[in-house]
Amino acid sequence: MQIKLVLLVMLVSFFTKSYAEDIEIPEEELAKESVLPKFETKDVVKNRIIKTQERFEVTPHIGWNITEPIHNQSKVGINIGYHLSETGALVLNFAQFSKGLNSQYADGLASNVNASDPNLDFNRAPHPKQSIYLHYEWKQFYGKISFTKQGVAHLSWYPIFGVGTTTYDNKAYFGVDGGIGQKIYFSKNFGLRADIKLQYAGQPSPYLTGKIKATDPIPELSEFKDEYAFHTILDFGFLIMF
Amino acid sequence: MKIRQSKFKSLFLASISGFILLCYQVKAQDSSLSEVDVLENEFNKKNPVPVLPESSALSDPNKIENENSEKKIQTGTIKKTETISENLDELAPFSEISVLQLKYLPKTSRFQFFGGVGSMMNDPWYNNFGLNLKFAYHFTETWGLELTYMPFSSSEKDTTKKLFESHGVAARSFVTVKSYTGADIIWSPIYGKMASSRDKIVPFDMYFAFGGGQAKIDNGDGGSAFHASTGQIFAINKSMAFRWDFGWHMFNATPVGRSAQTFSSLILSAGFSFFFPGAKYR
Repeated sequence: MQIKLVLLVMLVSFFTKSYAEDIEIPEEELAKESVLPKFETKDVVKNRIIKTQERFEVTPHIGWNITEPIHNQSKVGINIGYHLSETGALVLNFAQFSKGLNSQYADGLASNVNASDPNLDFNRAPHPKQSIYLHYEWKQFYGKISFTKQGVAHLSWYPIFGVGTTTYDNKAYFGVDGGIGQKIYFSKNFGLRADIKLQYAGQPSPYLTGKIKATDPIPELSEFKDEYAFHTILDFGFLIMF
Repeated sequence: MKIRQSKFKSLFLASISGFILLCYQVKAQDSSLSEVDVLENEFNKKNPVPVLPESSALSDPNKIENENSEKKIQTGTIKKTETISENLDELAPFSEISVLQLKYLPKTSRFQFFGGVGSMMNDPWYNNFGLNLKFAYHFTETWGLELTYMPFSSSEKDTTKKLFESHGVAARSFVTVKSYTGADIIWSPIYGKMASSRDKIVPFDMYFAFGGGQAKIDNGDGGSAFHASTGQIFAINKSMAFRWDFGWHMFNATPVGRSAQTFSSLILSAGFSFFFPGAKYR
């Protein structure tokens, strides 16, 4: 009796094992994707490669005021910044504007055959000379990219807010700006940055009735009226961290 | 009473037998280390194997970047028989790195429809706002073909009005783009991920587009255009993404009463992309 019972238990155990191994799950019900675990403490950047906190940044750059209709749009400059933390930096943006006029439009205005008042010489209007703005970079986004799977570069996206002045031949004008920028780091110390900003700033109006035509009397710089205008500023630079 | 004891003994023996049998099965699974070894060996054939150089060494351990979320896969062979622990300071840099393997938002053999709004950033005379509609097919993760249609609405800026009021130069002296239709080859060599607010990771693609088309010109004739652009596509889910695009159009046009010129327009767009059919992971 006891032997029969033992044999029965063993037999049931074997069948149980066999049954467990014979389970077949339809292929369409099998997991096809991997999922990441969810953690209570969401700290997605565990070990930051590009550390910027309490470091200086210097960025020589070229740029353009791409909505300037009369004066030369191009400029060169330098950014000197200090990173207060991994999410914020203060940057001083200095730019020297190129001399001359916007040849695409000013040349046409000087010889415009459709205008009732052609041969406009905008060299008489005050030119922009330098600008200096203090920007706060809110480094809200940090990430990395692979280029054709050959290597990794790190990047940072950041909104920019700033105040500053632009100096013309006659005087300096106050302005504010805001925009967005992106840095791509090739190493811990070097990278590229590109910024695009919308600037609302004062400027002398280049239009002055009876004083711009080549045959008109030359105006004084103080005769040009002040105005505020929107401009779009585009900067590209090579950044150095230390 | 004896019968009860006999039944109890039987049950006890049966339980002991079953327990021993189960233990034997468990032990049998644990002892089959040879199978695990085989599996590990098979796994290691596909997994990173560091190259141990004969003499040169990576002496600076700080050069080894340690990021948990990054998969670095390297293929190679072990040249020395010493244990790795004895040669950690002699590891050579990875010679071949495949960085990111599984994309959250795959594009291969999928269509993409993009709808967004755009603005011409460099027109000093007109405010140009409009739609940016794109329809693309991605042959691979890297290459695709895209059609674009952008209608614009234009209005004079203050500077244009002041120029006319002060000097009589009419706005029609300057050309402006009313619409653009074109085709581009899409090259997406860059894939990455970005952390926002330290609690979320967003995968994205960065692409470059090259092509051409026809711009419809206001205040002039012509409009054949060359187009180049760049942008990024941030995945929201496997079928939807936020996308921005910064495009440069260089087109030939002849303003009314003037000779032919080359004009450039920079257009910044932002909107949402929709990918279909559904994602099929590799």
